[in-house]
Parts: sequence; C-alpha cells; structure tokens
Amino acid sequence: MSKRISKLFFRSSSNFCSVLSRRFVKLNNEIFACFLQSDYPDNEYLYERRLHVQKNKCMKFISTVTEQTKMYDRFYSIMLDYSQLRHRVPDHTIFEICRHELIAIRQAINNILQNMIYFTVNDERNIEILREKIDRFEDIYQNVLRVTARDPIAFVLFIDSLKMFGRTK
Amino acid sequence: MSINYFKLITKLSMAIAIVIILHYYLFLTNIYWVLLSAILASLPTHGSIMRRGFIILFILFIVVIIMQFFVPIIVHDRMIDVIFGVAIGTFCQLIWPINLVQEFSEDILPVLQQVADYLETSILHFSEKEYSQEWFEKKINLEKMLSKKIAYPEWVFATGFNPGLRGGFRFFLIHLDRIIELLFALTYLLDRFITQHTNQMMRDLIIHSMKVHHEIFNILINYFKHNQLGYFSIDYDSDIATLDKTIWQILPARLEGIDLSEEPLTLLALVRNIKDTRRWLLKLLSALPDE
Repeated sequence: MSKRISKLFFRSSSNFCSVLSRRFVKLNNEIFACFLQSDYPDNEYLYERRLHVQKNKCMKFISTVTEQTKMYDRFYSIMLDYSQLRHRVPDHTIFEICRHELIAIRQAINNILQNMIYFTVNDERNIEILREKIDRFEDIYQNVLRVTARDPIAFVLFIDSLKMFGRTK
Repeated sequence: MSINYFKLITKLSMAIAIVIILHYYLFLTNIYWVLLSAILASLPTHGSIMRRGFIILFILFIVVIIMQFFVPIIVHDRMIDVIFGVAIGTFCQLIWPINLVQEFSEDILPVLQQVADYLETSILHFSEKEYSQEWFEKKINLEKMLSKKIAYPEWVFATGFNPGLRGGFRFFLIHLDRIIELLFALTYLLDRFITQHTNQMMRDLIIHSMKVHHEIFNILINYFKHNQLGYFSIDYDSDIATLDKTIWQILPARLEGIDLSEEPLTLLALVRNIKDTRRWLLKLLSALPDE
C-alpha cells in the first residue's frame, strides 16, 4: 500500500517538475526573444507583457513546491538577473553581432531546464555544453563587444550570471 | 480585480427592473431570453462596453440558431429578445461605469505594500542575517500574490481598455514589474555577497541605498492610499553616487581585472542592481500625477 502511495507521489511530483521545467523553458525563450527580436525596442510593451505572463506561470508553480522550492527559486532569480541585459543595452542592434552565440546559449539553457528533473550524467553534459557556449560568447565579448558596446559591463554581468546558472544545483 | 458588490447588485437590479417594465408594457415574447442577455451584458468589464455587448450578442445569436434544431422556437423572435436584453444591459453599464482610477489604486496598493514588506525583510536579512527564513517566506508570499489574477490589476491589459488611461496604467505596471524583477534577482546577489565579502563600509552603503528604496516605496504607497504626494526628499541620487564612487575605489580600475575574479563581479552586479532599481523607482515617482 505504502509502495503504491510512494509510486503515485513520485509520478505526480515528476509530472509537476516536468510542467515546471516546461514553464522555465518558455520563460527562457521569452527572455532571449527580447535580445534576439529586432523589433523589441518598437514593441517593448508587447514583449514585456509576454514575459510577465510567463513569469507569473513560473511563480505560481514555485510558490506551491515545498521541498525543492529553494533550488527552483534560485534558478528563477538567476534567470531574472541575466534578463536585465535587455534594459542595460541601449543600442539593441548590438545583439545582431552576437546573435548566433545567444541562440546557442538559449538552446543550452533549455536543455538543462528540460533535464533538471532527472539529475543524470546527461545533465552534467548539458552543463558542460553551456560552459562551452558561454566561452564562445566570452570570446566575442573580448574581441568585439568590449570595444563596440556603449556599456560593456552589462555584458560582463550577463556572462557572470550565465556562469552562476551553470553552477546552480 | 476588486468587485464593488453594491454597484454590481444595483446594476443587475436595474437591468432586471427595466426588463420587467418593458415586458409589462411591450409584451415581449419570452422574458427569460431578455433577462439572460441583460444580465450578461450588465456584468462589470474594464474593456470597451460596446465591444463586449457585441460579443455577447454574437454568442447568443449562435446559441439561438443552434437551439432551433433541438427545441421548437421562433428564431427571429428570440433574436429580438436577445437584442433587447443586450441593449438594456449595455445601457445599465453606461449609467454607472467603473471608476478605473480608483479601482487601479485599490488593486495596486496591496501589491506595493507586499513589495515594500519584502524589501524591508531583505534589509533586515542583509544587516542581521537572522531573517533568512522569513525573507524567503515573504518572497514566496509575494510570488503567490503576483501570480493571482485577482490580486494583480491584469485588467489594464484587457482589449479595448480605455485609451486615455491605458498608456499611464501600463507604464506603471511594466515599470513596477521591472523593479520586482530586480528585487527577485537581488535575492541571490545578496546571498553571494554575504558569503564572499566582509567589507563593512560597502555593506553599510548598500543597506542605506536599500533603505532609500523603501522610502520611495512608502511615498508610492502613500500616494495610492491618500491620493496625494506626501513629503519626500529632493535628493535621491547622492547615496547612489557615493556607492558608485566607493565601488570604483575597491574594484580594479581596468575592465580586464573585473573579468577575472568572481568577488568583484558580485559586488559590481549588486551595485548595478541597486542603481537600476533606483532608476525605475524614480521614473515611477516622477510619473505620478500631481493632485
């Protein structure tokens, strides 16, 4: 009987986590859409509204989890931290220079978020991939963005935040 | 969305009374259809009243058309009933419309209070370290509140919302959202700072700036509570300028130095977060109408 209950509990909790990870993936996609879509400065309210909806969905789930809330909450805080880049970069065209790197980082983060309920070897590999993508972004920062961006520190903080995301467990 | 039940009941009673009077004098064919459409059209909305009336009319027309296949009804008579009902409901909406400014103040006030409360606990946690659990609970409570559609004035984004008020209300919500984002990001930045740094001077400056944030929040709360700007200091920049000056005395002057180690980055991220929060808070403060 107790085995059955624990099985049911596991099934519901894993289902819950998979929904939460899907929500996080959607939030991450919305955050990166603000960097990658060239019409963001013209339709700022539209993008911010979409982001707000996804944030609410994540918050709704985070506030109901009990045991692992702190870990998910940390993920959420770091995601919000790296999303600040959209306000800190006044010239949006600068994102065109690092477009491919940003897409690669988005994908790497999504992979981590999709697997975050399993904590397997696969997860470690995804983190390693994210580190590689961050290194590539750092290269482009050192060679191009540091010189061309009006506020290069915004990118330094973005990279730092991504690195913290890779370390969160 | 906060519902004023007195207004709602008055509107519904008025709609029902008009339907009964019209039915008595005009001998409407079926009072139930008129009542149904009048009640639906007189329910409160923050969007365009006319647009909502047309949507209800369209839906009820479809219902009438489908119903004729199951129940013996005269379609054109029922359609006239529906038109009458929707017209009465829309008329009742126009008589006593929702006071959007008052409703916005009522809805935004608890959100601001909760955010200010969370910020206060953040300051306590940062200065005394004993409020970790309380801080976390406050954050969860704030998240719960923000994710509830009833508690947060989501209706500002409704289609057809008053174009005269739309710009100002949305500006306020979007900027408040940015501030909340920064405060949530502050959670992990403060934790990082606590584990890495022991610089008491920097800590005091950060606490002072956070207290000024809280002061600005109190001005906003006071405004929405009493509809007037109370006393506020002219200087909300000097603490940020001091913070900025001090950080560059601690950090390496060249950017390459910052890139290398984690500790200066934590400090830099924390100060940047505080600066950004202040920027958005001052924007909100300056956007308040002077009444």
